[in-house]
Amino acid sequence: MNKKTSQKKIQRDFEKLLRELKQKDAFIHYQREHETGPIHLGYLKTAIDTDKLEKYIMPRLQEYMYQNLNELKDHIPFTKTELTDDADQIPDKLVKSFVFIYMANVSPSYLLIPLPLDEKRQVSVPEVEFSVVGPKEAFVEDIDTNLNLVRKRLAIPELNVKKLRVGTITKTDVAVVSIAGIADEDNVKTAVQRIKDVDIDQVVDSSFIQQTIADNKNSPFPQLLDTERPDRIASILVEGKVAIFVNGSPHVLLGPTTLIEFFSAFEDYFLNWLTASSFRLIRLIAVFFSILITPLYVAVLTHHFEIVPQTMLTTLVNSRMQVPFPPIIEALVLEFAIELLREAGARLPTKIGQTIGIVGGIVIGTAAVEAGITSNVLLILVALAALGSFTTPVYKMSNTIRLIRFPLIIVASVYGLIGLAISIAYIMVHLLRLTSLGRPFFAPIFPFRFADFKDALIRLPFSMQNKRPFQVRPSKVKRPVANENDKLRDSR
Amino acid sequence: MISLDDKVSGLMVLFLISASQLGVGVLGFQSIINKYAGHDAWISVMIAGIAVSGVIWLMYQMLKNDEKGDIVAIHEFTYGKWLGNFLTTLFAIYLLLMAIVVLRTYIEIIQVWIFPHLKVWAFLLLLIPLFYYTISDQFRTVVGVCFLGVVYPAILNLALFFSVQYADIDNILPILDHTITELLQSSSLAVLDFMGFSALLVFYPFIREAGKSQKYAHYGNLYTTLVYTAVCLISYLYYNQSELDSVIWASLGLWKIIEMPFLERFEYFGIATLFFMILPNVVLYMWAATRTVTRTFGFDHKKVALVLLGILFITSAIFTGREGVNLLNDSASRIGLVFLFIYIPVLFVINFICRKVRKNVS
Repeated sequence: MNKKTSQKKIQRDFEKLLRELKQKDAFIHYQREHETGPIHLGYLKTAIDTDKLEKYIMPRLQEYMYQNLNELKDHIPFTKTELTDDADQIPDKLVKSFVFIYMANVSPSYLLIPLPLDEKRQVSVPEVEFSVVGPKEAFVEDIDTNLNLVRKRLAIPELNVKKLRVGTITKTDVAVVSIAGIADEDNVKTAVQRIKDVDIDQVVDSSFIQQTIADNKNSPFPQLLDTERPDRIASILVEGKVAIFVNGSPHVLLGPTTLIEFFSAFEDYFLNWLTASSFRLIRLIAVFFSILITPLYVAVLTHHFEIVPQTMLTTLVNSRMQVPFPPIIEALVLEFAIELLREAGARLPTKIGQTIGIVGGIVIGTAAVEAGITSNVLLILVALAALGSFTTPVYKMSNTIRLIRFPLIIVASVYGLIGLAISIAYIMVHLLRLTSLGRPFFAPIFPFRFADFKDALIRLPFSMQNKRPFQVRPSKVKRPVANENDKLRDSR
Repeated sequence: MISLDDKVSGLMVLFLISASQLGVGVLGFQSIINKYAGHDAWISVMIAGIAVSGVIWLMYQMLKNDEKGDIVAIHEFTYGKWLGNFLTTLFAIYLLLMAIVVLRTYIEIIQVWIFPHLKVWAFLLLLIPLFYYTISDQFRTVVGVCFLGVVYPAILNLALFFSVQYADIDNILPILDHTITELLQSSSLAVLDFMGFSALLVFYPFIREAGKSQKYAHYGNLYTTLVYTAVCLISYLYYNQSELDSVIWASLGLWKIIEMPFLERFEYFGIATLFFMILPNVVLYMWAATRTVTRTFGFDHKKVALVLLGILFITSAIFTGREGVNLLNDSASRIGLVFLFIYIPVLFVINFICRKVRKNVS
């Protein structure tokens, strides 16, 4: 008796559900007679893989003998199928790429089969962090593919993957990955805790996580490294750091990081250490040059032209003779023009962007000098400074470098070299205060860790990289060196 | 009380001591200390260095005996609450005065050498937020500034060797041409340039395994002594004594002769770089003053920092002109001398007796 009433209720609920679902455009519904009564099948057209449905579900529905859904379930070659009596959860499941099969007069009366549409980009060549030598794989948007790309390189049981859900609406999958026994537990805990504390409705890309878990959210400096190279992630995990994967993002975050790590390209590890160290030094010099050269020009030409030697002063004066503006206006105009070109190039499709860059750069540059709006010395300096900022391997950091130049230019025009020193001190103190996942960001310069310099300003040979960076407080400090026998003979 | 995160390693004491000692003094002390010992005054610098090492030793002997180990605790232990707090307040005022002196002297150098029409208050508006930004957070930041404030300006030391090519050895011969008394009199003047290290009495509890850090404090003092002696010696080789009488900032004169293909007038660059030596001085004094007041009266660290920086701003803006700055410098150095070489030994003795007596009582 009781069973019968509940069956009736289920039938009523189902009819109500069907009426509601039929309002939707994408809802597809089949009905078929069976020996036990009518069988209904329904799904949302755009949410599922119809090929699989035709190939695996439909034939079985007709061919096999079954008395209830439990028997049918055994014939269906998919995992994660579900049985239920509850009609309320059906709409939700449909959206999440499930197909439902309803069978009247039996319990459980719904069978839910997941048939997600696997649409993802092929693994391709890294574009942002391209390297001539070394692996040519880059992450894609799918988190499982990304995790697999790293697992392939680190096929060890110690690889810890902790999955979380972030975003009140998007419910995005986030994975915190580390190697047990090497990474510091505190770092992993900090990362997991901060991600859990994130209160945001949507997580579309890893940069959302990057910004919400940053130690100082008002800093222009990114406090977590992001990379699109699985080889880099694997290598840095071995160093004892923590990686954060976000579904839907081809960029994976890394922490705790340091300022200097942002200026190391992963290609540095593929070249021999002398070449790699020289290139890294060039990159660091380029950064200093890029930040300081325009402010220096403004400071010197506004306040202290006596520090320029006579021969050089002639060149400077000649180039500035026609210019009607003070150096500050001149510099700001040119810097603005360069930023304009960069922004236009970034917004436009690649081919048009390149054209704009060439036309804009050459035509506007030459014309500006000929018209006497700017001096050609400054034009050279500003162009070189822009070039210098592009040598930074991490895009977000190179943006920061271009940005912090502007306050420096302004202060330099007011207080000259002293003003420049003061603004550098501001940046210095800011960097001293910054932390990444609670670890000092300015290491190994301060706190001073001599041992960590082996992979900071320069990269020493692998045989000398026998300790993990102290910055991440690794649980296991020692690491095997490249080749014990070659230790004295050094790298190739 | 002080979290382990905020403590720094013993090695940092070296940089804290050096950073607090090296400052504006290095620009012009040569023509002040030769008043008694003449061309032998560079020996007086070394004597002063040794004397300062003695004071550091005394301080460590007192600090080691107390768990909290800073001047607030020592004063309270020795004199009881009321008198102790009163003396601590005086100490905080002394630190504040030192900060004002350093800052004001640096601004004066800028006024004389680079910007004669510099508006002091406007310039301070740029500086005060920087000081606040440094001292309002963890002590770590202050230490970082001190560390970089020693390492980075160290390149200026190399610049001094440019002038060696014009050195005349006759300028310092014959060596030891003055009496011991004269040398010691000059030393008492040279000591003024070593004075900043009294902040040690405040930051001691922030050092990991503080008891073992004493050697680093002496190394720091040694580095300072070496720098001062080298600067002094090179200046005396370059200038003769009558020339020195007519220059105020002898070191700037040494920089002036440096010429590079892209840089004439090195002293402009030097004065700008000197900012990185001045900054640790000021922030360390200001941090120490803030910390002392906070410890004594239990106010909020950030609010105290704001108030003290406000005082720094007003006083630095008021004292103008060479006379005002000289007045500041003279009074600060007299107070400093009394504090380090009279008050600290006296405090040491009283503290020692107190400890013995209370030990016997208990």
